[in-house]
Amino acid sequence: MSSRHDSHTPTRLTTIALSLLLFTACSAHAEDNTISPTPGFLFSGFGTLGMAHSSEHQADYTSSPSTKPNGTGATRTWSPDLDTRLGLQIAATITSDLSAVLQVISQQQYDNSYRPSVEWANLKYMVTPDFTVRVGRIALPTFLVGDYRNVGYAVPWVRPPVELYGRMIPMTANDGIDASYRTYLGEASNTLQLSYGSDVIRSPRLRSPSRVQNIAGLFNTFTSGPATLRVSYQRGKTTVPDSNAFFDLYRQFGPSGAAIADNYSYDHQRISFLSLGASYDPGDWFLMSEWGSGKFSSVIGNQTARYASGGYRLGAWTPYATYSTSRKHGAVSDPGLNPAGLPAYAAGTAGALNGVLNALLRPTTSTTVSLGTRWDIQRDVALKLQLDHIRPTAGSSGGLTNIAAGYQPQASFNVLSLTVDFVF
Amino acid sequence: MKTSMRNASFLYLVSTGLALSLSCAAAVADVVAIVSAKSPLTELSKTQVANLFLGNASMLVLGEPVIPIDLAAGTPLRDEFYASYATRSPAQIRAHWSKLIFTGRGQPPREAASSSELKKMIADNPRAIGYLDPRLIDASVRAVISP
Repeated sequence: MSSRHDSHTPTRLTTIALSLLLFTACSAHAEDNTISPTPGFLFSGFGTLGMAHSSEHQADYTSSPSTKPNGTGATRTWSPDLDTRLGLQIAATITSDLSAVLQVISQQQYDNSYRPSVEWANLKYMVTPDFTVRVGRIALPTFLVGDYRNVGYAVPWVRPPVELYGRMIPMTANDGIDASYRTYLGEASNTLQLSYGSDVIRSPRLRSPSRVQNIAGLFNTFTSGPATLRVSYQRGKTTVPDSNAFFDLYRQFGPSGAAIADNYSYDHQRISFLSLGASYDPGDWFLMSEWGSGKFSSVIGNQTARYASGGYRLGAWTPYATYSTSRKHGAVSDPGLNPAGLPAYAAGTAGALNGVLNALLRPTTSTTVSLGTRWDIQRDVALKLQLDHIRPTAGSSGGLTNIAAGYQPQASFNVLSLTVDFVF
Repeated sequence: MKTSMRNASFLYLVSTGLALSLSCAAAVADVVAIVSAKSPLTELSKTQVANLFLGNASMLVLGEPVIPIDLAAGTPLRDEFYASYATRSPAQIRAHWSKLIFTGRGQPPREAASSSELKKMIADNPRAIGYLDPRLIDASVRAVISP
């Protein structure tokens, strides 16, 4: 889902720095014949081939409505675009303490292309084996499955629950710095990660890039045997230049219009996200659950989402079930400008603006019950089949996009997905 | 009649399942974590060993990190080791490393081509840790887990 990063200055700098260091690693000679890590490169990759079908034909269901232009339903009966992707990584060991990683991913982007984008590009310095500092592009570990959500093989489901992972928080990567510190308590360990930076987001519905800046994040993971507990918090400031054209129209209606613009504008707003997660995986089965609360003072408003999922491993098969739900708190509609008393041409504009405002305020929340199974067919390849039963919350779009004129809201719809995940 | 047959086949399935899981449990006893005879490490728990091999924990020996040495993927002894020490199947181990690799958090342990090569690498390096069929232990290496 970090398919949306334009190459901008920090990336270019990182790329130059990486090339220099990769060259250094290349020309360096192995110091000795011990078993210590020696300078050199490692290539690896991952990918997913996916197909999804929706029973709702008048609108698109996608894995990430804010970043993907279309999905299955109205645009395609069977869509490969929800889950199909390919990722390639070069990891370079420069010295025993310094390493670099460059990871490029190709998946459906905001502009409907599969143009590869840089998912990870950073230099890592190991101060001690339990204290590392990274500079560059780092995927945000917002969720339990946050920073490896694209690696289908490492994820129990066809895709992480969309209510929490796909519709809550726009930023998924951080161009900046992070530090990670691990401590031990007997056989248990705790990892505290702090990050600071910014993210660029491309959306199919906005022409210019949006940004989240000054993202400060705290991520703490406690692991004891099969149990993992996680808490994360991030806050940042948004820059959504494209939204200003719309809200500026409201401002032309004087103080009452300005009040609406101030209340709902996306631009220069504070965004924050808190999440709690827990998982238990003794080997033969797993249970995991997460809760997240996003605050975005704009038409998006405040939202919470949570899910619980469990699976049981029977040899090569891992059937699983997930319950996932989200809620919007705060305004879901607004009377907007009162057209009464306005001249006819202005009343028409006000009515049109109010229509768009209410479409933006419409929640995207839903409840999904998923049943599926993973099948490890051979080494490094897993097949997954998943059926999602999706009930949009009353008055919500249910996260559907590209809604056709003939769309009749249904109480529920189903999505069937099939994926092949592989690593190499 | 039909119902009783269904019950019978259900019982058969359950008992086969039980027998299979029991035989799996029995098959995973013949692997033991080892260090060099020169290593200062004395005794580790299975969880500690698993955490070292899975990159979940680091440990210093002689001021430097302990280095785990694995057998190549697909080696039966390797699968036994992870089943016994980490209760994880080969696919789960691969998924675990996929998480770490593709988040830049680490690379899996170096692999030895065979048990004899592994034993030699461990014997020569007081910082290394590996695993072996207990019958192959000689004076150059020793178990760090009570057998």
